[in-house]
Amino acid sequence: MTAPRVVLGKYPSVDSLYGAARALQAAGHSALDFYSPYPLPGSDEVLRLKKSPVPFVAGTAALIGVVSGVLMQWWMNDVDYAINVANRSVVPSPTWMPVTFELGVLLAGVSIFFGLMAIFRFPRPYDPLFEVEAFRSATIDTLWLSVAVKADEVPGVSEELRKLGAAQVELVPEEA
Amino acid sequence: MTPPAQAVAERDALAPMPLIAGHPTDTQLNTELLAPIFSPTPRAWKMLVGMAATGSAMLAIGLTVTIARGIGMWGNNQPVGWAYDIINFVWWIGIGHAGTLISAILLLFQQKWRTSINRFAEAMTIFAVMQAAMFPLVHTGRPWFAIYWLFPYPNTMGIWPNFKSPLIWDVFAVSTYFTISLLFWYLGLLPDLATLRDTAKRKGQRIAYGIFALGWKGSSRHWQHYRIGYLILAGISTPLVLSVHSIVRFDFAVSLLPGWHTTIFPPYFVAGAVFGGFAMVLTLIIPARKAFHFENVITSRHLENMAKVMLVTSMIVSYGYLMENFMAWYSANPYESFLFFNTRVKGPYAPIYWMMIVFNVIVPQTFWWKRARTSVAWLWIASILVGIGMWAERFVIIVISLHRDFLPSSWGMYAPTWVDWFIFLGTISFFSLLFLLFLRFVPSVAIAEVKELNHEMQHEKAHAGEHA
Repeated sequence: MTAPRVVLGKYPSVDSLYGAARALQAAGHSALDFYSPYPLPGSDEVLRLKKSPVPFVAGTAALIGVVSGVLMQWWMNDVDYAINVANRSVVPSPTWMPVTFELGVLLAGVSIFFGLMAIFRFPRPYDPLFEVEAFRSATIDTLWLSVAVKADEVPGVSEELRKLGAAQVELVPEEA
Repeated sequence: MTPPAQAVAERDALAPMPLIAGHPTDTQLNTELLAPIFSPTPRAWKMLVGMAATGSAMLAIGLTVTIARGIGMWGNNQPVGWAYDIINFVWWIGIGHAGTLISAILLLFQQKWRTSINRFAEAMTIFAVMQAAMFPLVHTGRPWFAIYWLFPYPNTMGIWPNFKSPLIWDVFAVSTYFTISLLFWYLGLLPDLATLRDTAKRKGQRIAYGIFALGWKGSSRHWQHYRIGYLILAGISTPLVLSVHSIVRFDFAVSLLPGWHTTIFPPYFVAGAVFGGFAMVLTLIIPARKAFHFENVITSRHLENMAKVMLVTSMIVSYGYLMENFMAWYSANPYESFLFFNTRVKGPYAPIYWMMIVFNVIVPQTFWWKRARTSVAWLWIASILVGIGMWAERFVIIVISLHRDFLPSSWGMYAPTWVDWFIFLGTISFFSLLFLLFLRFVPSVAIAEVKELNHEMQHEKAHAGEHA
């Protein structure tokens, strides 16, 4: 079993890109992706992407931040080194709110950033895709479609991409 | 590309000025917005960097003297225990807030005009918070001990910070604010750094920007998570920015000092922060727009909108001033009345008070007139005046409230020393230095977002044509 090869096709418009993707999906290819300089509206539906886990990650992290914020303040100021001011009831103290809130926000924000890095498998400064010089335009001004196929399907799929309106078709070199 | 002047002439007189002038393609936008990075280094930039670096040396000297000899080198002394350090801290933090407002709150409200200016504003936030954080840290006197004074760090004394103190809330608020702003900024930069990597012709540049782009390819599978992550970050930044300045204000409001002890402080200072911050955005963006020929993407409509935000926030601030005075009268508290109706208006620092009123209350009133909002020169002058006015406001609150203690025998005057001035002017220079480096090496306008907006606008236009 050989590693799958990636074929790239450059498309002049979003409609032709989506049309090509739908045709390829109908032909049984599912390992598709688009590359564009800005997010394309509707690409999630066309690629049939699952819901992003990012909101769940952020929510969980925020909750952990809030709970640990309360526990930290309670343990530090009431247990380990109790500060008794005029014998007032200490739990729960409204003065804990700012720190608790900030910790919730901090953990949520940090988890979003590092969560995204984990999902993207970043940092990944090198990618075989970058070997294709023309593909550099994907972050500048063009739309590309990628499809991962078995090595023996490459010529057929390349031809198919051209028929579906690709202005240019490239084969990504194998990872060294 | 259609030159901006022609685009203006073509449009309907009543239709709002477009957010992107002309009908540029992605390629044109890319070339135009990356031009400051790939063009040869301008002489003016080198000169400004030289000046800013020299000014930053003042900061280094000021900090060295302070750390070596102690904060007795500053003008602070009883009864004025807080002065330039806290004034500058609050001023810089406030400036930072407009960045978050523009990038987060306007994103949530889907205000499309934020797109061209958010990157400037976010950079401004990060650099401003860096300056701000320096002041309380140095004010601890022995910053090398600050780690366990400020953070809950296990230490041999077995003590912890007191979480009932607003000063510790500040530590958490400011450090969270800095972290979240930095992550938000960098996440927003990611697609543009990839664009830079792919536009660059030289290998060194490709490698350098390639490292910072982390491998971004513009994949739709990435964009899906990216967009939602960015939106949530914006969502949490919004209450965060409100909390940060409210907490900064609790430092004052929870005390019993006349002029500080008011419940109106947190909301009115959030408005003040936005007001001063927008002024700083204008101060920075107007010359940068001119120097880099960004008039097509930072159109006069952007400047006009910023002027409108300043007008609104100025009036909230003015209402705050009015309410403070009303409460001083209504409370019938002799100390409050004396501060508001005697010390502030005719005391030894009264000129600073009146300067604050003129710059923060009267100057922005000119923005009721379209001519004032669209005159770039006046906007720039007014933005600088407001920046000074907001600094004066913090001086009024801190120094004027402190210098006349409850007992006249304890009264005293405050004057900054040369070390105070070195640190203050030094932070302005250091901020400018960071900003100049940012303008030269990082895309200062969010390219991916401008391209997206451009497509949306062209799409809308095409559909409007169909229905006509």
